[in-house]
Amino acid sequence: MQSVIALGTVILDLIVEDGWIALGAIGALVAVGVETHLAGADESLRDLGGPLLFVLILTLVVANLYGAGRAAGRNRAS
Amino acid sequence: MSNAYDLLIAGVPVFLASIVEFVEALTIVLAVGTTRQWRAALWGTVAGAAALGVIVAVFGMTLITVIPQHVLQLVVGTLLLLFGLKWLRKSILRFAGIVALHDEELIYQREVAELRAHGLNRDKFDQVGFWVSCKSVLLEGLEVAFIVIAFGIGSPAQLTAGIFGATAAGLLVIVAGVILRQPLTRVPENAMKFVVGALLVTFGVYWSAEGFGVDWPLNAAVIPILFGILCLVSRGAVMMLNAMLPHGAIVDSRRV
Repeated sequence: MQSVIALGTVILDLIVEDGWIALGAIGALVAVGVETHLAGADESLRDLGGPLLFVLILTLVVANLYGAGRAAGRNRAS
Repeated sequence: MSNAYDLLIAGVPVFLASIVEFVEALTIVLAVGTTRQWRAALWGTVAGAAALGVIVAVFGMTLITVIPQHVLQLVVGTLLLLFGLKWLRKSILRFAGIVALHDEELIYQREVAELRAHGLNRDKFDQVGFWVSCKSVLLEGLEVAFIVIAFGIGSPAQLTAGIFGATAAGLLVIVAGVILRQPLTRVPENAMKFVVGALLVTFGVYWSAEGFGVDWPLNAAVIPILFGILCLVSRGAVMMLNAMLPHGAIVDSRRV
């Protein structure tokens, strides 16, 4: 069981380093999934899902790095 | 779809990503070979590479041929996005001087010191060296395998182009390692990691949205535009961090 957990941890570590950015990305995907589902047969509304996902990811990257910069400043100061 | 298109969309990104990963694996294998036993280091490398070949062959072809295209696009797009964000974030933090640059020489020296701490019987096959080499090739190679599969989901031709890209990178790093017999410290690891991270995020966004049934304007031609915007925003993020911390910080990337 321990080796299975260790293997799972190694695989997770390959994909995720910062939990918040990973959760944010999944949140963005869920939001776009909901948007495209609600759009239904309206193709023009559904096709906004792509640009929406891209903008959400860009915002996530900048916000996460801003937070990282602030945290680094605090770590250096302490 | 043309061979040139498949090479551009899958072969080149996989080649760049694989160089980064294989250079890291080479550092460990070199440390094992020079401090313990070349026979164990090389057999460990062969065993790790063989395990990887099986993983790519089994999972890659199964994923592409069995799972419906929309589901596959969504799953692989999500994984690409998570994996790409990890690389992109780390490389931006390194460019801004907040996280230390990857130093192959330092890693090599640390690994050598650690390996020397274990005892060694020169007459016997070195189990420690074998497993350290095997683990290093397998772990770094797993990232390569993941990237090959992720960039190859479009079609079997793209998967083939990805495998060619990874194989070419592997051969190039092995030849350079055999000639130089030292860690490849001059590879611009962070710049390559940044480009690949941005490509992974771009493809992650593209495939995930397609998985939700979205038709992109300009279809696949939108990919270079998304990549360009992402690079510009990333450059802006580096400038923002430089303004926040003009003298850098050098902390662990997991702590920020």
